[in-house]
Amino acid sequence: MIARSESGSEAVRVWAIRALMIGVFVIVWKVAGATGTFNPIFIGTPEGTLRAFVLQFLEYRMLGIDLGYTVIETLFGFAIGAISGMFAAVILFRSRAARRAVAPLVVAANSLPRIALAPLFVLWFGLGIAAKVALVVSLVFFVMLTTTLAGLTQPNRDHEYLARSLGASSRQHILYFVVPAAVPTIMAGLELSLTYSFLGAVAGEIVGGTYGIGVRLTIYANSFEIDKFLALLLLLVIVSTMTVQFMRHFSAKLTRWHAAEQGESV
Amino acid sequence: MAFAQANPTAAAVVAKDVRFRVPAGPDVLAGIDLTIRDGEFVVIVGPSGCGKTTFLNMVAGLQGYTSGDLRVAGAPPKAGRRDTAYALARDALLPWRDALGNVELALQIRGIAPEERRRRATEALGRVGLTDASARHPAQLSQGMRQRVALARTFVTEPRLLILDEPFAALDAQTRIRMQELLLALLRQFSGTMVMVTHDIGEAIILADRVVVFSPRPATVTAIYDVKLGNRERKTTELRADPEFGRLFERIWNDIEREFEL
Repeated sequence: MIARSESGSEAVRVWAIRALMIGVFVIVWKVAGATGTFNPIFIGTPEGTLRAFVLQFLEYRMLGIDLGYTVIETLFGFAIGAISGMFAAVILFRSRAARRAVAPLVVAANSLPRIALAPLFVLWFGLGIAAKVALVVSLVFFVMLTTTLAGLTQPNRDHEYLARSLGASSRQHILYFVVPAAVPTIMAGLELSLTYSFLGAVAGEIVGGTYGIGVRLTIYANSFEIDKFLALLLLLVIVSTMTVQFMRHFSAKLTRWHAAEQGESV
Repeated sequence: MAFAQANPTAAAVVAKDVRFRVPAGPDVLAGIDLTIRDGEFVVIVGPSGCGKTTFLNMVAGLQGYTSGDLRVAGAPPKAGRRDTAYALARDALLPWRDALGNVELALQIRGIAPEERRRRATEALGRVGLTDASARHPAQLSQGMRQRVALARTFVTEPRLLILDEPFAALDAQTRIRMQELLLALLRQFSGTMVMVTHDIGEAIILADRVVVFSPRPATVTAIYDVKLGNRERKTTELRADPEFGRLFERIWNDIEREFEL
């Protein structure tokens, strides 16, 4: 909390370093293309990418349809995967036997590269939204299952003793001790899941689809329109970063105590 | 403070040959015999790791024993008794609740209505001198303040039996003396029974009516001392300056040391 008020001069320095990094990157990129070290056909140019970035906003199909599809797939998949994953975690939390029974399955499912399922989902659900949502759910479900379960089952002997000595019922124990302690872990899981959701949606579109950012990326790459490709990638990064930031802003309120415990600035 | 009157003839805690053995391990308690009268302040001292806390956990009903008989207010010990409050060695504050919320927790679990809960918790925080810190979270409190919040949480339910497990172990020497002073002040308005464990002999003498000395593992009761210093009326500095304090300190110290030489 004390660390929260950073000095103004440090904020200026932070932004200066960021600007410098971007500047250096753009210069290296430009020089590499101009001197022929790398062929601009493959790496594009900074000014071409910037032009493509601005121009893509003028194209209705781009923003209205393709970005819309990707965002809808992402958010639907995220919501379904997160809710079902947390729900499953709560069920497993209530039963130690069930937890032990499914533990190896969860590990196996988690280590499976879910993207490999994408062709199967296309086969089952077609080229529309459903196949991408399914892929996103398959990613998010297990992330939320494992993080929620980890959050709910973290042991704290002192709190156990306190709960028992105060005569807390099992409902009170879960409500006042277990769930609040799990919130920071669950919020971290949700943040990770959101990033995974964008990944799943775009990857699903690349494997097979009619609309979406992933479809466009494939088309641009195949037709050597690298500037457009990079401009679209930049847009995707901006959208997903904004979404994650929005969520962080929301979760910071809930987990401020945790950050303070860790001695971090919020 | 409306405490029921103490009944000095009744026993708050009776232990008869209480033994505890870890399965396939050594004995922890080798037969504890101890009677704590209603309204009495008893402090248990002994070398670290001797099983003092284990015994306290048994009284609190948090842990079972292997054999013997243990009675709390005439009944077998049970965790979560409404007339008992247990303060753990570490403050065990919930980091996501502010100071007031932590004190309220004990009342919340008893199903007390929000307004009354708030009023009583605020009053309890006032008694430990933390009125201004009620909205601060544990991470924003010093060790001493955290322990004071824990004390407020312990007293807010107006218990008849107070169980304290080395409540000041984590504090620096100066804060510890201040906390002893505070606890003594709180105990002056308390007519129930207190059982406390500490490894600090001076602290034991200051706070106790009787000091019980445990032997090293497997623990038995080595000696019991009546403290006749008039603790409940005097300041800790006065008590420490009393020649009787020094004499008691030396005898208890020798008791603990002698056990070690065996």
